[in-house]
Amino acid sequence: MMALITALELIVSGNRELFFTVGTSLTFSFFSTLCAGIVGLLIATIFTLERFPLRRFIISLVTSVMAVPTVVVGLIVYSLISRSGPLGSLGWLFTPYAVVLGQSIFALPIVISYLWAGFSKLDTRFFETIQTIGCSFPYKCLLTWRESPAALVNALLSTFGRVLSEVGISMMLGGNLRWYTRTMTTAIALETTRGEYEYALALGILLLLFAMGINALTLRMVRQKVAA
Amino acid sequence: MKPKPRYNIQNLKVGFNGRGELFHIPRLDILASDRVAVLGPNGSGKTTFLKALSGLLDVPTGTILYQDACIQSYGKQYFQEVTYVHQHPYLFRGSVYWNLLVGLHSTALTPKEKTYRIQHTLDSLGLSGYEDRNTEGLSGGEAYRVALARALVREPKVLLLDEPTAQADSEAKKVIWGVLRQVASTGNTTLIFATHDETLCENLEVRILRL
Repeated sequence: MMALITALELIVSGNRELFFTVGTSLTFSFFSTLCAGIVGLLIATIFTLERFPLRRFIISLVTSVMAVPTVVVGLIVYSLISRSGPLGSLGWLFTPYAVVLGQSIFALPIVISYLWAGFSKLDTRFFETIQTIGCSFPYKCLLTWRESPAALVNALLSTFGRVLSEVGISMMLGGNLRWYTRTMTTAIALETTRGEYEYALALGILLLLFAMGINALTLRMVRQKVAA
Repeated sequence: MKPKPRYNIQNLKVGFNGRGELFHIPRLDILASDRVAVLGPNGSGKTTFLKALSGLLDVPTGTILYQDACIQSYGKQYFQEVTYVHQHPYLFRGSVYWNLLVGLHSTALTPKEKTYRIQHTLDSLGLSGYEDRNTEGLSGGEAYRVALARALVREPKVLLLDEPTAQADSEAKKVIWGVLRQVASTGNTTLIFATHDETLCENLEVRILRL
């Protein structure tokens, strides 16, 4: 009980390091979702609008990649950007770039799956209509996005939530460096092992609030977009 | 000299899921100035036939030539010339005006010309004042007229309509008959439609294709 009170005091007092860590987490997650969102949007739209060999197989493959643990993604990216890796010369290891890169790779199959599932719910007549009115491919893409606002909101916010709560990638690629790459999840892991439960609990409460907030926002926006 | 047909259909056979033959058209030529009514009972394949002509459906047996070439060989160009309106059409989210604007997106018209053409088409279909109406609130009959306007605004060479008057009330039917008669009278647009409305066939003096 005392730990909970101290944790709440830390939040209410606006502890600088606590909120810097929260800010770092949100920034990393925002850029990762943005990068994965842009690439994922294009890929999911191509999956939806185009017919090509092995399409179904590739979609199942992307969907199954969602289940890959974050530490495995972290390990792969680590091997690429470590000093001896093919991208070692970039010097990205234990920098925010590494975390954003790793999280973007982790988020990509998630965002594609959500978007593809959302776009697939569009009426068959929509696809026939954009075909029969002679739309070019870029215009078809724009119409697909315009007709699926709920799918876009759901995909981006859900992916943001998943990225925000991951720990493996941030730990392996960011190195949990104080005032630099320490995120909410890596800080929780560290402070718990150090016995600083109050600090870890304060971050845990904030992480839980963000997760619930994102969930509520997703539901609200999806309802609004569907009703609009 | 006999004019070249717009469509040359040979030995077109369509079947569905092992239910045997849906219809068989041994030979049919459709000229540019033709008005063709496709008649038949429910489930006889009228929509399937229109979809085959629209390029949305690949036919397993037989050939459909459009201006002497296979439909597929035209690629996207085919859909610039031929347009199809579903019996229950899909309208895009947003306003009626936006829906017609989407229909014109690939044309080289100036914004002023587009506005004029949209306005003119809406007027002809009795949809004046509908520009800013949201498509979600339209009735089935109104939605069909908007979809018809979206097709007509593009001035297609071939207009394929599935049950154009099925959802319309008597006033709306007269408006649609009038517009289709006007389109047909130009002789530039081939009109092919599936219908149960015999008055429409009489009004347009059509060729009848029974499936």
